[in-house]
Amino acid sequence: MKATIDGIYRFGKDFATLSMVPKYKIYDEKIIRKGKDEYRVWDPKKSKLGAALRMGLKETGLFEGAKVLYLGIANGTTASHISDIVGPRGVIYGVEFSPRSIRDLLLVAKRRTNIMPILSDARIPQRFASRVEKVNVVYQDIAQKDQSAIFIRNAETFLKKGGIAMIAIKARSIDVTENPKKIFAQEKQKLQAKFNIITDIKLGHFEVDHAFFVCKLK
Amino acid sequence: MYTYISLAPIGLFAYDADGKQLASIIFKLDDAKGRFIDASGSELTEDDKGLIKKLGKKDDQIIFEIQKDGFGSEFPNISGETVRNNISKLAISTGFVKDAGQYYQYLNELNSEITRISIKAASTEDRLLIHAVSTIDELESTANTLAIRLKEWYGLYYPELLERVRSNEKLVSLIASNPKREDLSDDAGLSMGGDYSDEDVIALQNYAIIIDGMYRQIKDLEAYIDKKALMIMPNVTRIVSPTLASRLLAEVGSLEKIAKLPSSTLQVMGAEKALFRHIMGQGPSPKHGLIFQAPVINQAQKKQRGKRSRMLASTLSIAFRMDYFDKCLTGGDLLKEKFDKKIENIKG
Ligand SMILES: C[S@@+](CC[C@H](N)C(=O)[O-])C[C@H]1O[C@@H](n2cnc3c(N)ncnc32)[C@H](O)[C@@H]1O
Repeated sequence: MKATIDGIYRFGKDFATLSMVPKYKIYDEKIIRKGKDEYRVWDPKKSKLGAALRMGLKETGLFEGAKVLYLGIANGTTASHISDIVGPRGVIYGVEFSPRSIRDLLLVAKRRTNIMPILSDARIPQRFASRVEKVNVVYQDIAQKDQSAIFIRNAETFLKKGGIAMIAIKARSIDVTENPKKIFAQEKQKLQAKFNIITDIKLGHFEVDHAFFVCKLK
Repeated sequence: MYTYISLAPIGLFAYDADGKQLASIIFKLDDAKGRFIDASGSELTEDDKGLIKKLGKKDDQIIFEIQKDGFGSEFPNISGETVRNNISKLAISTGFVKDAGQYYQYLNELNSEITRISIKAASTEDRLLIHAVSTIDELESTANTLAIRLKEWYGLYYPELLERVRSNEKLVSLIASNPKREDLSDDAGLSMGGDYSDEDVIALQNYAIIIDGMYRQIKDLEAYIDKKALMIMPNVTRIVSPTLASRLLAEVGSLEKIAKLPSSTLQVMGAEKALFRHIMGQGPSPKHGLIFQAPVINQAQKKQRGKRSRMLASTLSIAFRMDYFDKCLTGGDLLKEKFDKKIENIKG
């Protein structure tokens, strides 16, 4: 089977990744079998990257062997698909500051050894820098008020030249009372100070009032 | 010229400002995890010292990337930047591993181990908080008992002061710093109390100093609790004070348990006696327990309190769950806003 986007396969309207660890599900994702291969269907309701694909995202910057810094990896729902895409030669540095969520990620990382679980605060890269390296992709989903600043800081510190940085922004995490459109415009402006924005997608009914930006460092 | 040091999973590296490697210490794969974890702390380890010795530089010429006691630090520095650009190649060329696969296998184990250790440390945080809360209660009751004895003792000497200073804590602190009545007031000569010798006064003062220390300890613990509570319950402390949040936590015993309680239990927690009377048919059902300490409840009109308690308890139960499962701070802000709106609505 041929991938539609690097490492990402299409089945009708669904997207899926070829499982690196067949027979083990991560969340209750649907499985499609083709001979010996297992494709894990990407649930757009449970993963913002999955939702972005359904809303027309074409370029993710992810490829087989890529190195990724994932901020706010939680229990690894989205990361499991990225893990499939980058494969055994790739790496995901997964930063998460909730001990509860990362406990589940530890189990995932046992089978998927390309995931490095890091319990740390994304705001303070100094605390985890000695355990990570320069990466091809930075992915961030943390729903914090100062998320754009955190994103910029990490991309500047860890993104390789020409690398891609993706961020999911939840309007309500910035300001609950303000109109989401206004918030997205304002966050976009913050990002544009440091990045060229290649794609700007709203996640529609999959994740209400969420925007998704794909960027490159200037 | 400065020398820049950085820590990596395979060892320590020193570079000059032009990006030339000056020296390194490479761990052995067998003991690398322990040495990495040690070197991550702010204390200087044997490996740090070894590298500095190799460099032969003065301490003030050395800049670390992480914080090290007594040294300058800069993040990121050129050493870290260079190493992070080709760590897997370095791991092979230094002989640390034979191929990239082996390096990443090691890195997965290293990160998992550090994360496991940190989870363990984090899981005892709530228990530390609970101990501090119980300690305050015990100190308070002990200090008050001892203060009663002090008052009787001091009352024989200068009873007028007891009339003037009502708070135990203030009185104890006065006596501890200077118990002599002629120093405390101009009209002490008119006191009805008996005369004490210097020796009598000193014995009394020493006793007061101990009790005063307890009151101070309580203050320190309160500050400690506030800080810890904000950290481990960022969402709950958006809704109620850190003190009340900690009392609720202490009542139940752990963040995990409290996150799983129904909100009706939260509402009456700490009102066990009243609940017992109610069950025995001897009283009305209690509307609020510990949460009565929250100003939104105790400063409300009587007939609003029941409703407000219910709302507060259900909001708190969501906040406790957030703090246990996921600390997205903004959740607490949203929750607080909703709660305030609800309270506003029932006012009208
Ligand atoms: C919306 S969830 C992420 C879901 C995940 N990206 C997925 O799709 O599978 C946001 C996560 O970010 C984490 N988080 C929030 N602030 C953080 C910070 N400053 N550093 C690290 N993690 C953070 C939260 O604990 C939470 O698990």
